[in-house]
Amino acid sequence: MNRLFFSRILLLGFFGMTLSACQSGSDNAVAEKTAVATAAVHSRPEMPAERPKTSPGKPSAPITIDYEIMGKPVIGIPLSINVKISSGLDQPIRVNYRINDSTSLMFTNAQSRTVSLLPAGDEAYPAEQVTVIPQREGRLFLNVSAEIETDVGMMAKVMAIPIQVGRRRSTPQVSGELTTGEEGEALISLPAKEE
Amino acid sequence: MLAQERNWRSCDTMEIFALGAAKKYGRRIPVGIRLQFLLLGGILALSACGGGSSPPTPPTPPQAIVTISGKVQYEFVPPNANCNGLNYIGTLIRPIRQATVQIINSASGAVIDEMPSNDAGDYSFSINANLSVFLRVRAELKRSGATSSWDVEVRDNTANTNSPIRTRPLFVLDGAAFNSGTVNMTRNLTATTGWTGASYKEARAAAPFSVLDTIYNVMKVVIAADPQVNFPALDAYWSVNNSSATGTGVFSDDVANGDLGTSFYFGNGLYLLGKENDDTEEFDDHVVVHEWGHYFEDNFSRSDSVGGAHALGQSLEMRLAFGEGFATALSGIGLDDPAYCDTSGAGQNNGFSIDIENDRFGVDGWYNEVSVLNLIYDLWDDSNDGADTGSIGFGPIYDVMTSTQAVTSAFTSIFSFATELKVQNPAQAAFIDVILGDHDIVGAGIDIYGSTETNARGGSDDVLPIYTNVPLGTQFNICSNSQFDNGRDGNKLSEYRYLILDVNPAMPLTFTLDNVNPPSQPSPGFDCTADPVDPENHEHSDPDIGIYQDGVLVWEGLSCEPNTEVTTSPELSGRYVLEVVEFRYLDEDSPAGFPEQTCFDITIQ
Repeated sequence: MNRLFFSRILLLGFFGMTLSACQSGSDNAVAEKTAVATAAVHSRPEMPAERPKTSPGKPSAPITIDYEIMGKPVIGIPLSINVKISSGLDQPIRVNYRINDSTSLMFTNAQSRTVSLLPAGDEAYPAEQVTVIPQREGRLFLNVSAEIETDVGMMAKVMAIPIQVGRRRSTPQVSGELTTGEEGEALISLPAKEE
Repeated sequence: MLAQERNWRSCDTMEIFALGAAKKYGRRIPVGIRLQFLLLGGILALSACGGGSSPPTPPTPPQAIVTISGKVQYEFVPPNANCNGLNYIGTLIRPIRQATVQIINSASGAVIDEMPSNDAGDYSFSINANLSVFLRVRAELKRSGATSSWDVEVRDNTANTNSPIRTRPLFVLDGAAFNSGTVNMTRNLTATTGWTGASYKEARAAAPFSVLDTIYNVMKVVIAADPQVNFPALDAYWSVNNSSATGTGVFSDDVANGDLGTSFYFGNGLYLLGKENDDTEEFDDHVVVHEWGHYFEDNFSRSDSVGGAHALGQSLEMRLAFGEGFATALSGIGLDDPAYCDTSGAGQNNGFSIDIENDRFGVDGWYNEVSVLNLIYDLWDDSNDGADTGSIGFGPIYDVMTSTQAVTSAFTSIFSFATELKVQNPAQAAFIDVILGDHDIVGAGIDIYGSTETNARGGSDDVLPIYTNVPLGTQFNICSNSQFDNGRDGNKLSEYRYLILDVNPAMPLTFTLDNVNPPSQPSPGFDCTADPVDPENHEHSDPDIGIYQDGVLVWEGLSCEPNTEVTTSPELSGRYVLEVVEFRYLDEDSPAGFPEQTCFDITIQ
């Protein structure tokens, strides 16, 4: 929209609003909405079916964490998870197991929360087995973090292991309140601190 | 009398409107048009007043205009020293820059006016007095029609998941409703972190605005190099549900569930972690810019990266090494801060850092993303250290990335980048050579194919030459080697081998690759296409080939036939670069005992 066209639109709008004000004598003189600047519209690609392999992600520590859940998760029944951690650095790896939501899972009494894995040769580290007890249905998480000393200091890698107990799906949290905008646009309203 | 009163009211209203409208539109309208408003309003006012001949009647109170102005800000949590978690005690207040600020009628929900905040976070609206309104800041950067344009939005990928990804909810910051009153007022809005001392117990309002402002930071660096730049639309997807869980592999499901595994870039979208006590990125600004660097490569330049899992210090496939190194270097450049920091863990109290300027990790060379990030940052920065005694600034880097790197006939790598950087900046050639040499990359005589390179990663097999010029009609031998890959990632140094092929005159070609010493032979009657779950599918050697021209894949041979690949292309003409790889190195289900090295006799005719 060039400047001349813009000014014509505004003048026409002004005429219309003025006549309206004249006829009705309304005090509602100022229009509720001004011309809204339209942003550049560019195409946004749709999602592919599979996770794209060419998006390798952020720089990470030289640690690999793999896991396998052994058996079907059931409330109150101990569940074993085989955790395999490896690194090409041939250095000790300190591993922490954590449950962030104590209403979801609990560790068995014998379960260590922190272990130090020493390389057993050929870049292999001993496999770990972690045992947790599901406390409720839903999608629950065991968090694993692994740290290794490198040439540039300690580096860490984290992984959340999802454990689906039963068929109930967890409702995703929303930070804020789902709402809609003037033209039905989906929004998440976050509260501001005002002063 | 009544008629006279009505006449006066109209007259009075019109005069006020003429002035008020001009004032209201003053932010958007040039001075000349403002004068048109005043003139036109005056004429209409006089006309409606009948030449001013009516006797005066008591005026009604005019519709007053008030100014609502203030500042929009967000809280930013910096990292602790050595990136040892987030420092909530040291939380900073920063302006929300260039985001759309709206003033909204709280009764009807109608947007009364909107404007972008300025770089100080300031906004100002002139509206009717005594209206019930509230202020809203949209997590978006929008500009069009100016010298440079942009369109950035921050959305929650895990909400309204039945909607297409690009229409999932946009984050907005809302103030409380208030009456505009009769006098000007100042109202400042701040997006807070939601941190209450031990956890996020309140809404994490600062997060999307921190992401947005970080993106604006790096955009400004690009704008400084190219004032007329137009940024293609970008969405950043952030959610409190975005975790390090890897999900099912079905992309739409994983994104809807927040199972990102890690933060990444795809298709003009930054997918960013946000799950508390796991991994959050909103204040890890280098991570955000790193992913934005992939958006930049994708839209302004070109990336031939094969992707896949990688870690700092590893010896990588050269296209991957360059893409990752460039993105991390850009994070230091875009934020003018070499201290890359990625926090994570319980209470966001852990993390690791990279000194982009100084850290050396792994074996230096053209295959190490740390070497690439070091040297690109050193080319840019103006602080002298070691071999870094100069600076070329960002402009030349931007120019190469957006011109020759985007169309290079070689694969994108440090060789294509550095070669053209020297060509475009001959006065800096010696400095560039020194920086390359400091990372064990041969700068003298460098070309886009790395023909002069001598760094074979300590004399490792199958690393050099980087490209092999191949003759038509003559058999030659190339080996793919997984010596640096301990996880079947298929993206480490020497797994992909590169060829240069010149075709003149134009002709179709048949590419034949045969494993010289097959580690296994298919069982009688084996058909790799018959049963997708047959374990034998993963046992035998599977050579693959891709044929590219100027970055475009024009033909490929990806059959699952054991120990051989035969494919005939359509008519080819000109120069091509080819990649040859043993697919078993990319196959997580291939047996552990599969040979580290596989060699192929190749014929092209």
